[in-house]
Amino acid sequence: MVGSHAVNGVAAIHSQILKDDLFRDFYEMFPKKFQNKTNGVTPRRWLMGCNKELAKLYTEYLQTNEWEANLEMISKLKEFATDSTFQKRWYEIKLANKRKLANWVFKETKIQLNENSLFDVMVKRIHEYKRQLMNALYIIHRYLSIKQTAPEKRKEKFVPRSVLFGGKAAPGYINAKRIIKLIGAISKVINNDPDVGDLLKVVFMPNYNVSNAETIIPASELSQHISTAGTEASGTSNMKFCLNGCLIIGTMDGANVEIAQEAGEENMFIFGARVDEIGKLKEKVFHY
Amino acid sequence: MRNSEPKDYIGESLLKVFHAITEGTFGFKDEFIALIDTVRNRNDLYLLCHDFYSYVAAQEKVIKLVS
Repeated sequence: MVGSHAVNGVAAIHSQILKDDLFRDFYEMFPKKFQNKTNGVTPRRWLMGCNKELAKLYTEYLQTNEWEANLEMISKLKEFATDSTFQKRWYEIKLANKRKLANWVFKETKIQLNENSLFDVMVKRIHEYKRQLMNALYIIHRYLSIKQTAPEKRKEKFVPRSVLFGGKAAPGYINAKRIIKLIGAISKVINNDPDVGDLLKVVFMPNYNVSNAETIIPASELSQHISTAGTEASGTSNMKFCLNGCLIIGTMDGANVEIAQEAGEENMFIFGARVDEIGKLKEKVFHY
Repeated sequence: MRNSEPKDYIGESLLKVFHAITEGTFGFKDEFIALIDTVRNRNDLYLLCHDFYSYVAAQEKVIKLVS
């Protein structure tokens, strides 16, 4: 820090945490060195590359492909949000991407997904702070509720959903590996329970990497970015999902905060403790 | 709040989920108990149990939107 010309965080909230907490003393000494550079993704790979049809649709409706170099231009698509032809064509592209993913999932895992179910995706490194465990526990909660509901009422109460996990754990990280094992075990029980059927399917997709992400992300409809506030430095897959017309359920952490500002909080499912509440809450938990 | 039950912190729905795991619904009892023990013994470093309920509420909003 002493030898550096500048010091930067990788999302607005992260840069603030560096100043307030992690490097507080250094910030006192060198306030002018501290900057923010929010991480980003390239639309060349994550939109024009992985979702060619959607990119074509954008170009057609914007009547120019200049948006490829100036992404802010796609905000003009807002005026077509209620246009039924646009909606229909947009949905057909999403459906084709979902079919492609369902075929890949079937090839890899022999699990058959209903293409009309909601594709709920959580792909990222497996880590306790990212809270894949919370998602897994929620799936069990949902499974128990389905089992508790009378069979004739299940169809109206539950929307068919396919929950897709992906990601790798560090080799020595035992809890992360246990989380993967739990998801695998849940998936085996739920997918083979005739009471559940299409209402809930759980898949752990093998070998999550960039190439597979290019198939997974364009097919997603709901994407989970649910880390404890203050722990995710930025996160960039949230941006990739946004580019491909996927809704985010997430906490006010990392780049989610800036996505909420840009896309509107009303277009995101935001929940959980905010970063300024975390300290007090932790104190409460540990001395409960 | 000192010295009160961790159960009050965890809450009913989540206790049911933990119960399903400890009962062996998903097999591998010992390993999965070790896993949930990382959040249910006054050691919930990532506030999973705290955020769980607002997470469920957010998921309800998702269900409302798509149904």
